[in-house]
Amino acid sequence: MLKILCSAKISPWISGILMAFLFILSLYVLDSSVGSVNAYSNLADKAIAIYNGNIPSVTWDEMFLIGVLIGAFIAALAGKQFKLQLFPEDHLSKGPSYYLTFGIILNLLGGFLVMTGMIIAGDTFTKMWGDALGLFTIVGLFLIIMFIEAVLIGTMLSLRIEEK
Amino acid sequence: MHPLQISGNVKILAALFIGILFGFILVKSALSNRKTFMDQFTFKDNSFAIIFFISITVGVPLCYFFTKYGIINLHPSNYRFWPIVAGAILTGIGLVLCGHIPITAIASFGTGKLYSLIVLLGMLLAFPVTKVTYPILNDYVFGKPDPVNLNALAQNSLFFQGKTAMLYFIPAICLVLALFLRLIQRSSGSKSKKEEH
Repeated sequence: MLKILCSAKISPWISGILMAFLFILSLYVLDSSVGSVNAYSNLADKAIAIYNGNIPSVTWDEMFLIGVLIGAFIAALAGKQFKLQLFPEDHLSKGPSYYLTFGIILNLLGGFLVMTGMIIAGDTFTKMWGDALGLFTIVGLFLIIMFIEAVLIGTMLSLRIEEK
Repeated sequence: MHPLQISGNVKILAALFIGILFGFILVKSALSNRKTFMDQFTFKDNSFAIIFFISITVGVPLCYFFTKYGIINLHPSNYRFWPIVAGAILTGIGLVLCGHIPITAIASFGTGKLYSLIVLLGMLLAFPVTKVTYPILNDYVFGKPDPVNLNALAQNSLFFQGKTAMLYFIPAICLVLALFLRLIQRSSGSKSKKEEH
């Protein structure tokens, strides 16, 4: 157990099993799927409220997201992986003219498109992942379209970089 | 048997604990790392797909039996055909650009990757923008009738229509896909090592 806690990485096979158990645990304990799109929206509203000096109450689905942040911090500390990093490594290798301008825009635009897509689709990837365990057909459609498209764009971009 | 009937502060604490476990596994499985997603789309590192397929392989039968005996209840969102298609297209483009889904962006920020805050900011900007553009989205996406009644199929799920063969077929397919992805990853890895020598 201690070995897993302190190891830098656990096998994807074990991670897959653990993720399945976590989704089922959340359904048993909370009687609801975790990571819904409303939690992100509410958390943003409450962050603004805190900025304005008000102390809003936190619901369980917002607390789940705070838990993810804490869990990631604990894991990074336990595995000695915690490192403050201002820019992604692949952006840094392209020089300051890239990571100070284009890189930031790409991250912002990417994040915007991901969440817009999920709001339109109906919920976040995490919620869909949980729903996929119930074999909801339409979630499979989302995953297939997203994955094929991302593979096509990702391959095209990597080929372009290799040509350069 | 039925799901735990907790509420109030106990539920908030339970959600915090489950969130901590999620965050921990996301980091330990390297899903919080943007490179894991980026490499998945070029098949350099298939960890993400293997994790996903194995979770389906293990989770689907468990989910079925726990639902059958009333231990858990499924609460699917109201997914519809055209919004799912449009949403998947936008999400796919965004994922290639930033390499994060919302939960991994939070986990990544927790590991000290400050650039994930920009990704999260972009994600939060999506809420007011979709609110403003809702009338347009409603005309072209939400208002469009579904070409097939996938909604009913999704809401009822294949489990509850007596097609329990899917219960074993889909996990088996996912396991085969995970093994295949592991094999091609190993062969491409050894190939690149040979080239280095």
